[in-house]
Amino acid sequence: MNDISLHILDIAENSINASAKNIEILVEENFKDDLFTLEIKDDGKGMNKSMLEEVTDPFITTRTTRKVGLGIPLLKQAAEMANGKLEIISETGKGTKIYTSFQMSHFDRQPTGNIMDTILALLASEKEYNLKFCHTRKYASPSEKISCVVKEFTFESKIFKEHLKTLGIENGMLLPIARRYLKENYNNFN
Amino acid sequence: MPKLKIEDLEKISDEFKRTMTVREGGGKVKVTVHMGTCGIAAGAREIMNTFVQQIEEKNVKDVILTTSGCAGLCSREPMATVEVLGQAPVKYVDLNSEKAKKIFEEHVLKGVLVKDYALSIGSERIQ
Repeated sequence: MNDISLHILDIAENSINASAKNIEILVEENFKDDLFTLEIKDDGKGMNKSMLEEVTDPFITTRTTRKVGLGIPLLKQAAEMANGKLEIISETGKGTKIYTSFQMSHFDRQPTGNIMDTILALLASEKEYNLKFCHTRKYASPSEKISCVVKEFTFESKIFKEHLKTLGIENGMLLPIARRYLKENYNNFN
Repeated sequence: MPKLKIEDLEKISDEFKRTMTVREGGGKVKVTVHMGTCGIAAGAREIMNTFVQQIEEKNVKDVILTTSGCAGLCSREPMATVEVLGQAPVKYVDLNSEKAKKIFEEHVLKGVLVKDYALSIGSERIQ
């Protein structure tokens, strides 16, 4: 995995495979505190304690829990290389939350990559689920009156699809339309 | 705080409705890009993106584009499966953008198999 957007895709695919109905992806670039955080939450089938212990070990997981595989170890490595960490909270039947942090300016932090393409690939899945995505940028404040400047882009697949339906758009056109929408609205939100 | 920009969406949708056509006699085609950890690391997302762009460029809306997990042939990723309605699925391996474009133009649009990039027809493993 060469960039963070690819990790996002990989981890969210785990959520899809865990039968999640709701997946939330929160990306925060905090320039003020030199921190890049990524949070992926789902309401899928979750993991039990023993699985949770093994999930960051590539040599155990690839053999016993094929479902999870190398994705989480690779993300953990990427975070730790950049002075960050990876934490997982999971409960059987309730879902999984994966929190990752990176030191934003760290020499070894992977580039953010193309998150738009990741959202598109996630929209392409045949499974029915709602994807909530939020990308926040926090900048140091130019004045003392406010603590920081926040910019935000949000996207929700359910609302997006509902609107396309009311516009009479067929499913086959979802991806090209989403691509153009994200290109125009997400790529220049800063 | 930018929420969903309805005006933008309407504008884009209208443009697509005007230009998109269902090809006469063209059967439904399903294209599946394998999106496991192995696939993603090898460039599956780029293949996905290429197919989306092809659908947009060629103005077709009877192609179903979807994703699936690891197919078990991690060393031959990125992989995609093309299934023309009523025919056996064809697995393509070792893909890149150029190959994906050719597969879209030949197999998806014209129904002509691209033998050079195909691994097998059906789901059996041939080595």
